[in-house]
Amino acid sequence: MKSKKIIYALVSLLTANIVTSCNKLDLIPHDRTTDVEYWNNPESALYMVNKCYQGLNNAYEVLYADAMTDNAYTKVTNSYNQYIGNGTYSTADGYVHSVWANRYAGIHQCNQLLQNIDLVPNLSEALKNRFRGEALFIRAYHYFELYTKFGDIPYFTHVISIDESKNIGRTARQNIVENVLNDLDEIINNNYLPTDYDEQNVGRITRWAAMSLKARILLFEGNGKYAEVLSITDKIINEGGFSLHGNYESLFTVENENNSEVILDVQYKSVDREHQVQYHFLPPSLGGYSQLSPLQELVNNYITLDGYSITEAPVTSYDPSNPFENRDPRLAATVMYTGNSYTLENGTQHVVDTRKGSSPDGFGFSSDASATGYYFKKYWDNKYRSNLYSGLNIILIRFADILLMRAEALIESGAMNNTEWNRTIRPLRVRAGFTESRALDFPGTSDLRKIIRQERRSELAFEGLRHLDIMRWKIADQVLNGWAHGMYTGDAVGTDNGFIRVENRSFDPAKHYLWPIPQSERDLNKNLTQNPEW
Amino acid sequence: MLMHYTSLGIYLTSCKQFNYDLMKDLIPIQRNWYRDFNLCSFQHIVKYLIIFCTTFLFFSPNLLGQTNHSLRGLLVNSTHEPISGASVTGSDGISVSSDANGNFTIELSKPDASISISHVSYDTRVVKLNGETFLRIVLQSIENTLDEVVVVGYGTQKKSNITGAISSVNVKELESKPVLNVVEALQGITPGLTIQQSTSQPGSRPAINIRGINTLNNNDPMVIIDGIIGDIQNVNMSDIENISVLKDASSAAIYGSRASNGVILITTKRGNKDSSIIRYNLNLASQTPTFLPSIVEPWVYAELRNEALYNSGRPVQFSADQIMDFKQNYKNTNWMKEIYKETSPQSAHDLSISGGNNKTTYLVSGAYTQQESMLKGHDYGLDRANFRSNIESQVTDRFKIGLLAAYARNIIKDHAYWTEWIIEQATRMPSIYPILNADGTYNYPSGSNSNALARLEKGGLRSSANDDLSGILNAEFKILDGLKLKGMLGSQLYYNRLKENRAAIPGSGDLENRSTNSSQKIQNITSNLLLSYDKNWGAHTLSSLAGFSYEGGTDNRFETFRIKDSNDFDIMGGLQTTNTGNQEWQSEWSIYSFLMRLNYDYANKYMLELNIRDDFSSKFRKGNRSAWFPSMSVGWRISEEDFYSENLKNILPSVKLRTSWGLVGNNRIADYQYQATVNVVQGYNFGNTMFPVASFDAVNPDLRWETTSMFNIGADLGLLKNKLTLSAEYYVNDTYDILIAIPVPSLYGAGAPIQNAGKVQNKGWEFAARYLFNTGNVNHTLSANISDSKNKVIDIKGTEWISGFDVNTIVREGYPIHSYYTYRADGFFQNNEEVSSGPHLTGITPKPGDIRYIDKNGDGTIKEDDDRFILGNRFPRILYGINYAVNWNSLDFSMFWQGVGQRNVWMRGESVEAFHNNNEGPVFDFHIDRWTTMNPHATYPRLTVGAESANNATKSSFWIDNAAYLRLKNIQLGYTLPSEWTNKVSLNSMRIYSSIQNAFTITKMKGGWDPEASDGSGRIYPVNRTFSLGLSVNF
Repeated sequence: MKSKKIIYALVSLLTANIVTSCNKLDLIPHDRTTDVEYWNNPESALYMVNKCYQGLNNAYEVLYADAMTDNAYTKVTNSYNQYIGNGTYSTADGYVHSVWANRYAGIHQCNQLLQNIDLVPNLSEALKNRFRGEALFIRAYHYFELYTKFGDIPYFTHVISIDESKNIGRTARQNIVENVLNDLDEIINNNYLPTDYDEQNVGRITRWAAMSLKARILLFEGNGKYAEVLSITDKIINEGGFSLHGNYESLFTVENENNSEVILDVQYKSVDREHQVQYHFLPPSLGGYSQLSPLQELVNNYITLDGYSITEAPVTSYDPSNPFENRDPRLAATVMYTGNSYTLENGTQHVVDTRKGSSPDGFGFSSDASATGYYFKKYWDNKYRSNLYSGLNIILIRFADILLMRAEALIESGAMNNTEWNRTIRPLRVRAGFTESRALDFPGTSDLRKIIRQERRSELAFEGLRHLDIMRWKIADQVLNGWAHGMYTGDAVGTDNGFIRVENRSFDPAKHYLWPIPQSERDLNKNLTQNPEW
Repeated sequence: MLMHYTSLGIYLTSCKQFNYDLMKDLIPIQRNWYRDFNLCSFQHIVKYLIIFCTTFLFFSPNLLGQTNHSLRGLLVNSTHEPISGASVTGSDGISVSSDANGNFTIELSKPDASISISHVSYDTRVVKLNGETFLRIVLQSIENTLDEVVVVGYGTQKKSNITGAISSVNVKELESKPVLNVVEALQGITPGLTIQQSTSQPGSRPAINIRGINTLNNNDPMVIIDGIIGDIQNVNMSDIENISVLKDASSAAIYGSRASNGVILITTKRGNKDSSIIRYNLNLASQTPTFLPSIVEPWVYAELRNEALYNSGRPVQFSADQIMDFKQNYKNTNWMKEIYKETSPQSAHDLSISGGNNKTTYLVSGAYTQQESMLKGHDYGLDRANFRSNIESQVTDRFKIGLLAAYARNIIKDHAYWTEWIIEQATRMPSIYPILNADGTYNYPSGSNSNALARLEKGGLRSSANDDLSGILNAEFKILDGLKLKGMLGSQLYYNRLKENRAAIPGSGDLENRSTNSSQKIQNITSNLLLSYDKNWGAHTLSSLAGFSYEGGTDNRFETFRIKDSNDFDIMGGLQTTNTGNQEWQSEWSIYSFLMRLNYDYANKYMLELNIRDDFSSKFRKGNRSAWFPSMSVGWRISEEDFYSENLKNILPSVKLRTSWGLVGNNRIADYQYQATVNVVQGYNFGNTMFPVASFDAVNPDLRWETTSMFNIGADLGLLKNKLTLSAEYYVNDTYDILIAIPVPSLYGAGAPIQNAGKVQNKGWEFAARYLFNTGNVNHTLSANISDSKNKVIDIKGTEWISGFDVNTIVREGYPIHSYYTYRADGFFQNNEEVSSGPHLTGITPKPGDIRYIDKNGDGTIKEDDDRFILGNRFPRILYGINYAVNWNSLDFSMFWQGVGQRNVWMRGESVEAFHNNNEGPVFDFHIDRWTTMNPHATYPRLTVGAESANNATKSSFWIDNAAYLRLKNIQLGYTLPSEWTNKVSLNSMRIYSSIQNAFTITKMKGGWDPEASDGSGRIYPVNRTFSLGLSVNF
């Protein structure tokens, strides 16, 4: 009998334990909601639109874009875009696929907000419009980044299912451009977006940013769109309240983030949201690995202080044995060469010696040293935390670009004159530090197209725009064929006239003006056709 | 000296420093053989063994020359435990029994008489006295014959009645191995159990797999310790009574869910009813790395560096004078050796006390293990303490309870960086640079901004402490004869704390002081209630079982970090509020199950087993939760049939055929996957304000159980009076509805959710043999096993995916899972004509001496899109193990060989490539045979640096190594002291032994890397070779 009592006690103990300490089968996470409940939260739209910003762009994609041009070279093969720069990329290229995948992930986030925003309770009409405006802008930005590279692409404005993603075909590029412009017009014409934000929200998309993106899209279309570019840029210049920041070099520093010139940037903040892109371009003496380095071709682009291209400059203006003297001050602010220096946080100068074999930054000294003999200086953040982590913002659109877009549209439509020159190019050169009139004054009958393109490249180097420029100007086949060069060593071996041969590039104009649709995507979606020659 | 040493060791076990010093004292004797160990020094081992043997022989007592008619004896089993109740019969018919301590005394008529010893659990032995008055007699357990009891799911079965594929590990073969966890000891022991050890980093655990790769999902087997899911790493090896490996559906299906990768059942020891035993084991060991890279000397380096620079169109670096100077004056600095100590001690103690009376038995044990890291630095290594208390009591005739409690604590101290970074940095450095400057500061040559030794010595500390506490309460109530109700409630509490205190190293690129503190608490509960009924009538035997089980767990993690201006304190005190963050996670799961088993046996001839289990898992949504996992198996003992003639029986006394089929499940995906969850975290800043962002997880609400259908057919044979047993198995596992995130178009934009979308087939065979034989007084045991498995992806809905960054693998229908996928190398271009006829990689023009690749589609260029081949995979095939043990009087010797017949490993980067990635190093010995015009039949292409290496550094079959190997995993020699001696000091028995783990390896691996290396590189803490001395004492 005793044993029966014990067994009853034990069984009840076991049962009690099962009942009390067990997890049920319907378990839900502790730190997350599910999508059904999510949109009931008044904050949900804000959180979702913030998510869209995360995908807009990032420090790596912006700065590495120049490695696909004659501005820069990356020595790493995996994961980055060296193969696009040298023309050996294939339909399996990892970088091409990552652009495709990340942009469509971003589009999905925007569509998710736009599709669900009406479910969110207690949202004022103004705020709802602002969120819509931000999401429409970001979606437009993604599509622009996609069609400029891939041409015709799948275009959709709702959240698609897996089945749809396996069947959707490509939309003609022209239709996408129209749709994207319509979206931007909707934002602009209905004043969805404010013209500025309070300190807590600085960095969000403004009406001016929407107009600037529209200008960029129109300019990419080129012929037939210049008038529109002119009217938009005129409005931004007159009414936007933007002005050029006083000093070109300090424009890209933490102290001057969100300055009067910035129209839109990717926001970073130490310690909470950082990038480590400096590790990729700084010299070993500053702890970098210099896998992204400027090319001699970029250095050559900078004019002399008296306004000559180095190829045309008289010996009094440009001395090949002293190539960094008497040059556009933006060269020293952008590219690190022997004798140039980085300003450290304490104000001292960190002078760099890139001469062949010199320790530790010299060409060929170690695998950490630059493959071209040059380092980038723009976007050097002397307030970096350890291991080169940085909270420095990366600018996507700035006022200088508006001026350059306007100048280009004027030149292409034959309307550039002294007044417009003094409104666009001259202020850029004054700000850059030019004083000689030959560099500042309207050059009149000269090759204005060459001047504007050269100016644009010097002003915006390492800001992710050169790739779009050489694509729309259709000059990639001229600038991306043959050897890309590094600095002058004078060696007989491995150089052209003493300039280091860095990489032999090739660009097939029949093929390379469009990237391939990634083969792995075509394997999953039989309706995705391929671009010509791929 | 040895005696002196070991007895001191017993009393001073807790004093670490003391042991350490003793080790140092011991080591000088053997200084010549333990260093720089490689295949060539095998002869030294032999020499060492001979010395060892001679020493023992010298110590052995001279027992000859005395005659007496009275014999005293001690009976022990092979683990030196006394055997009580054995019957000892003299040749003149007098019979006595051994007492509780295994002692007996028998009067015999003549000094050269024989005695016969018999016991139900041991082989009968006949021993001739040869005039001796005292004999210590070892009886071999008859566990290898067919009446052995095997632990199966929720119970035990007689081996002769088993119809499924179960390997019962011979725990004896695991003993005295100087290893830190049972997984390492199990390698090669049992067919179908694949264990791969690529590192001996303190606290690491080798990979375990049963019968190959069944799924694209998690392939780890389930480990059940005394009835609950446990951590195999934390079981004290000497507490283990039995290990069963359940390999087919029939044996594993009772565990239904999560059994698709097999089950390892571990049962711990209990006390004995009629005797008290105190056992103490000590093992002191010294570790050295098995393999270190074989880099070239400074002058060779300099010559090859010059050659590579010249080949790459760059000026040479070293003058002839410098090279001569290197040759005459320079010390070779192998940075890879400099980061390890010459030897690192390891010690293990365990003590157990067991016993009991008629009603209650107990076992209490404790163990302490200490393993120093081989890396230099402060006090890195593992400390582990184990405690166990197993108590069982027969409360009344009908009611029995048991309480099993175990606790393990591991404390691991390590450097605060990643071992990969440390080894990578050290490997890349050529031998011309010292690791320390003459003034004792760290050297940062070649523009490097880190120094591996500096990171080890100055980079801070990462320490983790984990506590694993488990308690199991069992109750068994006999309702009627044959009808029993059993209840079990078990809980495991696992608590892990990690503190990482990374310190800035002035003068290097590591400039951050960062403290991270994290903790994880896992709590699992298992309970079940089982009703069993057993009945015999006539030739029929029936046993059945039905029950209900619940398992559930909670996993909670917390992490906080802080970046500090200085590194004055180890803990995160103070009031810092910036540069700090924290995060908590929690998840839960549960499974409710009903299970049933029926065994029927007719006259020991025909056996049938049926199992069924129904599982409800919280990982799937309502409607998809439940799944039935049935299995059945049959066995036929042909040798019991009437038609099986006596003649046949003399040759082949036992023959059994068996086969099984069944379904088992797998739900091992993360929790909540069927729910569309939204994460909100601080993710984007505007100005200086961080804002929350919402992320939607990829979701598929329609998930259900992954299922494996398993078919097994096997045969067990006994020959030579069952002294030689053979068993063979063949199996086919088909896994379908595999839970895998197969690729979806990126257009979808929301990530790839897990789907039930794959089908994999895995086939294999196993063969095991065991032979026990005597030659005179010498007992031999020879066992061997060999097994193979091969998997193939059958269906992944037409998709395929390539994974990996430096090493590419592909999952493609028709091929093994994660096969290597890359170009195929085709020798070297020998001259300019060959170069110009191509083919070339796109964008690269090779030179003579460069690797040529096969142009798969013949379009003239080599491209990733269409020229890659499927080239083997990393999973080992043809695994084998051979164990030979021999006992002669008091001496025992065993050696265990283990090997892999077929495996590929893809080495890359600085582990194989000269001047990898434009670095100054490394240069290995096999680079010397590089291509030059004078050496066209080289094994390595021409040496190059930087961009000139682009052609040869490309991913290709050239870098895929043959990793087959044969390894003398363990060799050991033991000596049991005569009981006359031990009895005088009140000891029952005492054995001393010496053993070497990973003694030597035969392999074709290049560069001096271990053939068990994991994919990619040598950036891994090496496997250790361990020399040990041990002692076991029974009181």
